[in-house]
Amino acid sequence: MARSPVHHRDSGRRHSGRADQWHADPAGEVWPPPAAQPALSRPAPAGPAYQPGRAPERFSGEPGSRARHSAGITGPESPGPSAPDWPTGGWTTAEWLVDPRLGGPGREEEWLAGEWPTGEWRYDRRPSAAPASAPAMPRLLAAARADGQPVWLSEHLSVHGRVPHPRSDAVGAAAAKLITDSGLRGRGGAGFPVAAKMRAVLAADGPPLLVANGAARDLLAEKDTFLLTRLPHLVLDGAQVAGAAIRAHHIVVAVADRPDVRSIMQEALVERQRARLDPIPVRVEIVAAGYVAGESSALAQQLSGGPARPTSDPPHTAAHGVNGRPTLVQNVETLAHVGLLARHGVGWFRAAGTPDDPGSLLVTVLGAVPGPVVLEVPVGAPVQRALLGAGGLTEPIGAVLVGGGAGRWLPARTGLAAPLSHAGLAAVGGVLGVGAVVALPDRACGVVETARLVRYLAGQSSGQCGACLNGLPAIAAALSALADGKAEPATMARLLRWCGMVTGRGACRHPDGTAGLVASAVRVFAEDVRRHVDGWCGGSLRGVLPVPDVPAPGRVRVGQRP
Amino acid sequence: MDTTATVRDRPAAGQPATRARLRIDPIRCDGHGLCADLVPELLRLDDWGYPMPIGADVPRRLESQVGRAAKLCPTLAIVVEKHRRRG
Repeated sequence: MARSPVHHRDSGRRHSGRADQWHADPAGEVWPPPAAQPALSRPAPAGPAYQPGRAPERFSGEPGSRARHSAGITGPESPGPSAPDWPTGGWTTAEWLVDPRLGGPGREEEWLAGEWPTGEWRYDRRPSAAPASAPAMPRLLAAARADGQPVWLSEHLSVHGRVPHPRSDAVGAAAAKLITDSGLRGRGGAGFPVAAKMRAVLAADGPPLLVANGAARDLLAEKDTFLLTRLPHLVLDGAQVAGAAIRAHHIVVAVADRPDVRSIMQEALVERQRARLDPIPVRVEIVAAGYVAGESSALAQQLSGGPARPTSDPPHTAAHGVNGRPTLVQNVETLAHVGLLARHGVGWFRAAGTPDDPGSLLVTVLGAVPGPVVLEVPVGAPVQRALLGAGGLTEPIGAVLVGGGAGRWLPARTGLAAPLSHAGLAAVGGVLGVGAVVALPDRACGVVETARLVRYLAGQSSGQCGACLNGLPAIAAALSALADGKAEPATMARLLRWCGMVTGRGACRHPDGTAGLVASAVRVFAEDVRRHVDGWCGGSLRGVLPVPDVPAPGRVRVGQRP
Repeated sequence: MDTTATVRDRPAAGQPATRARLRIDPIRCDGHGLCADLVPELLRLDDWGYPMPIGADVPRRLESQVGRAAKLCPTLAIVVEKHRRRG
């Protein structure tokens, strides 16, 4: 279905109220390739870490506060959720066009009937903010609070502003074009371009659905829980835009059963309901957490009332997902990026990162750093920037694990210089995964830590495919024997053979992830492997990786299913 | 680490470019291994008795064997896809 072009590059103007204008790039020009991009007005601080004790700057919502913020002047704190009036301050000149047919309870049936919402949406004609209000870094974490409290709606809007909405008949195409032009890739581990998944959903039959995946449980990556508990509105904004792009009838935010996540998401939704921000109805679903339960098809099956196990592909979730509907499953961080993308445009978004993999990235840093931390870096920044942002190394390290549970080990020298992007890490034999970095102290033993992680991962499989059912326990047992110094010479050969044997043979990428991890460990920790084969270990520190200590799962005889 | 060999059957000049592709649904597969007995040229068993395809393309002479294996698989885990390629 053809729509008029929606990204008009009027110089400096945010909105003319035209039906076909989504968002004018404030710079008023087509984004140039990043190499030719002029530096943005505010110099970017080096990988700002979100650490206790560092008070981030914040808007107060008063008139002129944006200009003061740009000049580096901080204002008083925004009022919390108990503030009686919203919006505050400088938006009183906003002009509202509210469709009386929209909003309020009981409108759901209009959405369920299968019609894309008609009628005019709210928008405001506030004066265009200078590009300085959308600095290069931090982006997602710009509003994050030092005290760890959630950023409620008024504060969120005073920092980021509102998501502009065009007239409703153009919003879907506008949102889709925005996401396509941005080149945004998923942040759930696979790095799949969002636009490709979106096209698959649009091409399929049935009422589409967006699932915000906050249930992926990688023990090494705190970033998803971080976003849900501290910056829920960023995720929910992005969900509305991505939902608009696929003409979603509903949005489901899938979260693990944690009381803090649940209550904060519910409170955030109540705030948005009062402010009538969400055209597409949103609900929060508590889902069983688990390593593979967060996989897209497993999540879709669970939301359909089935077990939390991956399903066969084809059909892909995008075409046939929750209750058979075309379902776009996106990680909550991906949606948070969409939320800012809709405010600041493609040019701003692509000003950070690499041409192939643009934007910024949340990195969870663990290990030989002062404390576990979630911070934000531009895609392509070297690992050492994330480590510096975390406070620097506290002791000498031998290797880094990048990517989370399905990540790969890299030797310290290569690892520190490795760019945090999909292509950059692939070039050095690593994976970006969920953006978790663990700096392994020299005192620890990579073989022992990997064995602990692999025992945990083997137990996390859904037990549906022969590769995971048999292969992962066998790999875990062999690696455990090696870690205990009880390996035979044949063990290593069998270990690597099994890694090759399970790769690509599951319904999901779980066996591939574990196999890649083990192969990288054998390569990077070759010295330690030799020592362990000889029966002793050079490590004096245990328990660096925050995974539970579980015994190796038992092998299942051929032909048997649990 | 690639432990599988790839078998490619190039169609002779003049033959239609229809390729049958063999795929095993890993969720349905229970490792009975009947398929590997019927079509050992295309399927090998791994160390736990589960079949591993050696390459996805099915040569024309083996298509009927593969079809039989698909019909006899106790869990109907074998999927034979026919792709018609132009040019």
